[in-house]
Amino acid sequence: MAKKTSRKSVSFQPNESEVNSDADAPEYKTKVPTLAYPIIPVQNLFLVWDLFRRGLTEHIAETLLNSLPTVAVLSAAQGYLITLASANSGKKSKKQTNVPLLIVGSVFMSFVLSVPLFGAILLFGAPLASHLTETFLLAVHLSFLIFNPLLVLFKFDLDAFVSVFKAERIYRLIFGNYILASSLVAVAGVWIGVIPIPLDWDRPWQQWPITLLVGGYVGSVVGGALSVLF
Amino acid sequence: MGSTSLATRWVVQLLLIGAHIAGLLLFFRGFFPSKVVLPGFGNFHNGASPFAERGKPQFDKVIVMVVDAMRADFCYSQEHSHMTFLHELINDGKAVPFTGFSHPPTVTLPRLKGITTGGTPNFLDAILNVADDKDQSQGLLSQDSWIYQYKKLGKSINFYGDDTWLKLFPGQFDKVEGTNSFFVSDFTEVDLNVTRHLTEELDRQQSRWDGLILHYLGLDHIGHKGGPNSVFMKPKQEEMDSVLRRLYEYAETSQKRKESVLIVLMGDHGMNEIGNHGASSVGETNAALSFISPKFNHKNEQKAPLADSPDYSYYSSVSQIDLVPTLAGLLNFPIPKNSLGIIIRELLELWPSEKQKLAILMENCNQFMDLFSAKHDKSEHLDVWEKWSQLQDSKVVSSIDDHFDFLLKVQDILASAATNYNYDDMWTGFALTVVSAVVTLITFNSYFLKQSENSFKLAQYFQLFAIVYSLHFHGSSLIEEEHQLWWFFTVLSFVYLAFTCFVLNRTNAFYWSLIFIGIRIIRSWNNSGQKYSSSNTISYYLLNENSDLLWALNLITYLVTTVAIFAQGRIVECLSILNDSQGRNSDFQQAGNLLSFVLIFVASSISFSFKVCQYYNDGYDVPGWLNFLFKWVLSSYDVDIKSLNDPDFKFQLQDLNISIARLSGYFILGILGLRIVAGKIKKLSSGIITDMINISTLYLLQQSKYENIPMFLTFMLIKFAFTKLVVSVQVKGVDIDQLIAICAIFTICMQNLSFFCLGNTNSLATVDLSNAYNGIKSYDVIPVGVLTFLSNFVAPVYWSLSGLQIFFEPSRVLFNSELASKDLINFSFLRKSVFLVKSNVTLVFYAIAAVNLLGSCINLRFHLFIWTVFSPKLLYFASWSVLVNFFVDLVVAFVILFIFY
Repeated sequence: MAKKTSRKSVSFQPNESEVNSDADAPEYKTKVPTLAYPIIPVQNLFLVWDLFRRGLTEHIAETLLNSLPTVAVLSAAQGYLITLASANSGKKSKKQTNVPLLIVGSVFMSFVLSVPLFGAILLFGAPLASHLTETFLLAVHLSFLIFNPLLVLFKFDLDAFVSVFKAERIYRLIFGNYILASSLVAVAGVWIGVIPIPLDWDRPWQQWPITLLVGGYVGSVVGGALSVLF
Repeated sequence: MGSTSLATRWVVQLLLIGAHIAGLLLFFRGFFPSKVVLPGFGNFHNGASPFAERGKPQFDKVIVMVVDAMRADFCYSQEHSHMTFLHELINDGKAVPFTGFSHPPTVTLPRLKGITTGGTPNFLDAILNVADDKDQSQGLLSQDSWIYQYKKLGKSINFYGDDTWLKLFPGQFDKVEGTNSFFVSDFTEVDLNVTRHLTEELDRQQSRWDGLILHYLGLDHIGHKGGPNSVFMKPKQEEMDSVLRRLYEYAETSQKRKESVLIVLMGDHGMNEIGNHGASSVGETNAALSFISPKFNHKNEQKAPLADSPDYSYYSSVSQIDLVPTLAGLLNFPIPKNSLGIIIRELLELWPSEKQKLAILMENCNQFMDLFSAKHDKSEHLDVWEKWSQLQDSKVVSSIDDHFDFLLKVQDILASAATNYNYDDMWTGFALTVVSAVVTLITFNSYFLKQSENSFKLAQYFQLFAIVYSLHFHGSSLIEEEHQLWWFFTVLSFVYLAFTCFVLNRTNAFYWSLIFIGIRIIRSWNNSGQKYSSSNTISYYLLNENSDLLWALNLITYLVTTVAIFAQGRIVECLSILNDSQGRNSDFQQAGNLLSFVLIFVASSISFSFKVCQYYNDGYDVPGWLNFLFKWVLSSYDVDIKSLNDPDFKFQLQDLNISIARLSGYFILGILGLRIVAGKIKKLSSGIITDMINISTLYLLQQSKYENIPMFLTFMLIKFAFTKLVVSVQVKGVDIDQLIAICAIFTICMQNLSFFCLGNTNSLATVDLSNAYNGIKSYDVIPVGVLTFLSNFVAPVYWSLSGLQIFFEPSRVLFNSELASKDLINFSFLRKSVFLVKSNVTLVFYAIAAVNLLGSCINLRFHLFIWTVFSPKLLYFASWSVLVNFFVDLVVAFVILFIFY
């Protein structure tokens, strides 16, 4: 498909090519850390099974709260695996990272970040008048699911993370990276997870926020798997 | 295509819109045909009447008292009924109470057809009920009804009340006075106009009649305005109760003269939780139905009033159309030919002999089978035919139960029989919309293919969005809950836009979060959809719990709108007498400032005062700190505050409301006109969009429900934040086609999201009529139609104009008139081509939606919900497509851009 990039009859000041300077793409690419071997968060499937085993559909808030220690431990373990995988590949990073601090810090920060995430979920349409506890616990779970691996991978470097979205060929970049793929597909999973709620099937698992949580957990595994296939 | 001139592309675009609309209209003609009914009038099947008791009819006279929207609980429930006299009658056995099921659409005209002919309604009746007052085709003169049959016996019928009856039966009544059913803000006068005739009609010396029909509208109006729990509900029910008492006393004195009078007290339909009707919720379909006469001695096991029932079902449930054969039996005439009603079992007890009961039921069966054999031949429904031959067989003993079972079965089959569609029109219409959609997609894609890669990607997203959205038309519950879809798509689209088209930085993140806060607020403002209804909404809180905050917010909204008119646009420049470009503060310029300030201020204060008066008129207390304004308005019209139950005061208030609404409408129109004319003379053409939208916003506020007015504050916030983002994109470099697509996506999402968040749904029940009469004294199709459209579509109109403003005059949205010379509006060669692309982009959305909706209606034409879900959606879609997309998005925008400019 030969697309003519003919200049428009009018454009607003500088053209796009002039803004995104050509040097950007390669520079960004180096900023995103890669892993030596794939890490697929299969433990999340276990977590989903565990949540339902504990009676998620009957006592939602209680179950979500009680499973948090498991989540934190599994997240820390996953964090450790990520540091191992990136240590092997990270020849460029000469600076020695304090691995225990990074892992503990990520777990802690995931917990802190659940507060802004809670606000974002509310803004994106979570119920305001009820279910606030459930929504907050959902935010904590999702924060561990999504933020924790990213924090460990990027070693708290926000700019490097933001650069992902400025890169050219963003999809290739995301699906070429196990952690990015799994985290961002998890977000998509949460997003798609809302769809069954308003349907008139009247099943217990249609309660807020079960479908979002499951969507997120399953999405992370799917994302990881996709990036392996990619 | 590159060589195609702009003019040709415009012609193609107009043809596509024409084909789209023509296809829709043609489809409508085929989809909503008039019902096929059997011609002729019913006769007794055995020649002689089975109904007569000792050669005489059961009743000599009948009074039918229809109370519009009388839901079953208003008559029978402990909590909602204040009709104590009726309760006494029920407990004395003089009244036989029922809950009457009214077939949807629960709108007056189709319901009246139902309770006179006994037929089930078709959907066209519902549209015509709202649409056309002068249409005579609705007459039932050629159709059999109990009115016809009763008149045929040489009886006379007098009628007072809703003039829909007069439309249905022109010239059939001997003495009449009609009242118009559309003036919903009047609660008292409509009913007094009916009751005042009773003095004469209930006096035997003065009036002779055999049938008297009264149709009271006040209760329905109260429902529309204030809901079922309005403060006016109790006095209105007591008023109805006292009318019933007068009628019953008349019946009692008649009984002593050996003349029996039957009183039927009924609602034509019910109302839902917020007082509207039209759809098929339990509240709307369960109306009251009571047969009352001193002759009755019916033992009612349950003593009235009963405990509240959540499904509005009290005593035994019958179908409203059962009234028709029952009246035929009680008054002794043949059952109307097209009736699907079954004689009510409880009233069958009036005939003591078992044999006669069976004969009566046989008459009913015979009448049913005439209808049945006209529609189904012997090869279908074998069990019915078999049962029928059993019933006819005199050797087989059939019980009353057998007859009722049979009648119910046949009724079920007949009532569910689909209407006859006109397939030629439907398929042609569908084909036209398909052609229009395909060609639109071709022009759309071939255009964007030639543009930059980024705008092509965005165009792909837009198409995908339109396709995925329109798939929802294939599911009935998705249509009912469309507001959820729009929330989902709006959030998705905004996130997509934020990440793909806008720079990721702090400032933009700030404005995006403002937008998300804004849409989150409007989402919580009202209930929408059929599934959930909660009182945890902002509008409920403002209306019922915090009127101070409501009016403070309303005042702020009006203030902000006024300031925006004054400061965003160029109205001050237009009205200043000298063009003082040197910035000298001449007296003349100040005079101009003063003039525009006075005009705008007066217009917005009149409009605000009108909303305050309307609020008071609807039965709410004006907050203390606003009382001075309210009293001042009243005193300037020479009206003294009295009790709201004083009818004189009510009339004065209504007149005041009408004239003040009219005044403010004229004022706003005047300012608009002044701006256009002065702008033309002084050649101040840019800024016209901003001025038009700002001044119209004032009128849109007036057409909104008062509890929704503060939503405009949020709208303005969202518009401001989005314009900030768009301007930053323009500076950073995004091509113009990408910008058109961004604005189109934003506009369509905000139009639909706000539409549903204002409390609208895809059901006819939420069509808001409370602002349809602002400034209008009596029903007139065109102004009432325009006002109804505006009051229901305030948000789509607002966002349609805002979309233009954001695109063409962003600096003015941001109060930044110094940069206004760089706005796109100034590039006249661009306006035509950009407007063409924009109109093509929106047509993609409507064309794809039309194909799916019409396809779904063809596919699901025998679906259970075709008349309750899909048909109303068709009507809503036609309003969106013709009125919003064609009229506002295209015609109005064209006039602003190319004529007023």
